[in-house]
Amino acid sequence: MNTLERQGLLLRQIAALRRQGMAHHQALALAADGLPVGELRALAQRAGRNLTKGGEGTASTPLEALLGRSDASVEELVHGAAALEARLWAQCSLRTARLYYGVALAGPPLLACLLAWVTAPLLAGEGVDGGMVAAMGAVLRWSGVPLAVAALFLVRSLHHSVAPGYRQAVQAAALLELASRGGDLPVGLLDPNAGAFFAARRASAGSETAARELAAELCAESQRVQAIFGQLAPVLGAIALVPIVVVGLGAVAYPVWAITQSLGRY
Amino acid sequence: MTARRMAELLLSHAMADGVPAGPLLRRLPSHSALQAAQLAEAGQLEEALTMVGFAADQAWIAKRWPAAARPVLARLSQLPDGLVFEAPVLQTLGYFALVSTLQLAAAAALHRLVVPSLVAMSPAVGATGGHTLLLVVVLDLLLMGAALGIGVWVVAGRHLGFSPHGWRGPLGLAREAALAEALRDAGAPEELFGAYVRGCSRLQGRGVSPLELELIRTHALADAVFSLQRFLGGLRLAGYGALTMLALLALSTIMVQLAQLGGRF
Repeated sequence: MNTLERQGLLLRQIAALRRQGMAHHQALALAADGLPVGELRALAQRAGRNLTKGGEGTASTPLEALLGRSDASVEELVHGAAALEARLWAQCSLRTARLYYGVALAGPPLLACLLAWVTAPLLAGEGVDGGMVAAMGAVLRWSGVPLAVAALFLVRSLHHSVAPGYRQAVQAAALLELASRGGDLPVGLLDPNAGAFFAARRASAGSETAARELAAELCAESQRVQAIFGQLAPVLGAIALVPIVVVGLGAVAYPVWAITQSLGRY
Repeated sequence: MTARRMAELLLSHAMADGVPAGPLLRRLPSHSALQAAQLAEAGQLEEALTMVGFAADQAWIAKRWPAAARPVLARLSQLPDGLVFEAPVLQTLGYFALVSTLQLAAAAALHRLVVPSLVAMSPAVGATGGHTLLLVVVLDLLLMGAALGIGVWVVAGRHLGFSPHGWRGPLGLAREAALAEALRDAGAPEELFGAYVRGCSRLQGRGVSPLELELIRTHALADAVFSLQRFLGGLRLAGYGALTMLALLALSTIMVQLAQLGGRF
């Protein structure tokens, strides 16, 4: 399980225990005991110790600060979990986009390289006119892997905004985090409609409510965009492989054409 | 976020908080919003909401019990979006279009390059091969047309509101149940709840207790998924089967022609 998933689950567990009437420090201790040994368990236990000391000690992360506050409301815990889950969606969208872009960009040179190695003995055979075809084959044999590696580096370094659904998820997480801290919200970074919605709701319901309503919508939009991208991206990836498939078909069709041509000479 | 979705969200939240819709509609940037504001201020709230993008059932509820507008949003967000739900069909059709285009190009290339040589050597053998390859080209074109037609049928069905697909009925029932649950969540009076249920074509005549509504919704969603999977299974079997048969036909034609010619020299 991903670290963000564990953190979100911890917050949701504490919120659920609090809803059943348990005190914050008890809920935190119980949830921390259920965690596997590791960084998160240590963090939860440290927050618990700070809590029993009456808030002494400094929190190293916002999560530790939230866990270590005895006055944290159940809603704050739930919204903290929602912010972590939004970050998780952002990670997920980035990974999915990298996977499909990677296949679309690195796949063709790799396939071309494989094809060039497989057809090399045929092209070197007796009676085959070398020249340009042989030269192309040699280039593909030796450049395929470096090109694929370069494509993977390019995909790795692509700006995060090219991942469908990433922007919405990050904005949702930022809105939730800033709302819980009471910070000033960057309306200018939102798209015009989202910004207009936020401004109108902030005027009537307050900044925190507006941020939470908009974050819920942005999260849903991010998931929707990711779901559609996940279904349609493989088709786009397949289209990227079309040139190689055409070359492959040509490699099959060429001998047939050559045979019929040579038969026609008799 | 689209302007239509922004209007839907803003009005739903505001109406649930007791804010009147008219002044809000006046502040919306869309062209239809001003006309909608006039309608709302003239007491035709349902028509005004429909004008800015509310679905008819949502507008009906929002007019009669504004407190339910927010629970309606929450309940509807748990239902699958039309495009997301039907994306696997579009994906499959995309593959069909791609593969049949490649196959068409290959068959056309073989017909153009190989058949003339075959005809030159043996007119009878070459003509048979040429006819078969032409048949492959025509059948590939028909397959592409069928894929395009199914794509249009699926997308148009969603936008035009007709229900050609097996999953539309269950999805509609799930929506009706979700909206009824939202009315219950918002504490709507029994008369209003009863009037809503009587107006629902699919929900009418079924049990409407909270537990029954939840069961109807979850079963209807599962039914919609099964229906989509059945459709996809049939589509994939027929499409990939037809494409494989056509590829084998084209390949075997050329091979058989070459074998027949081989014996003549």
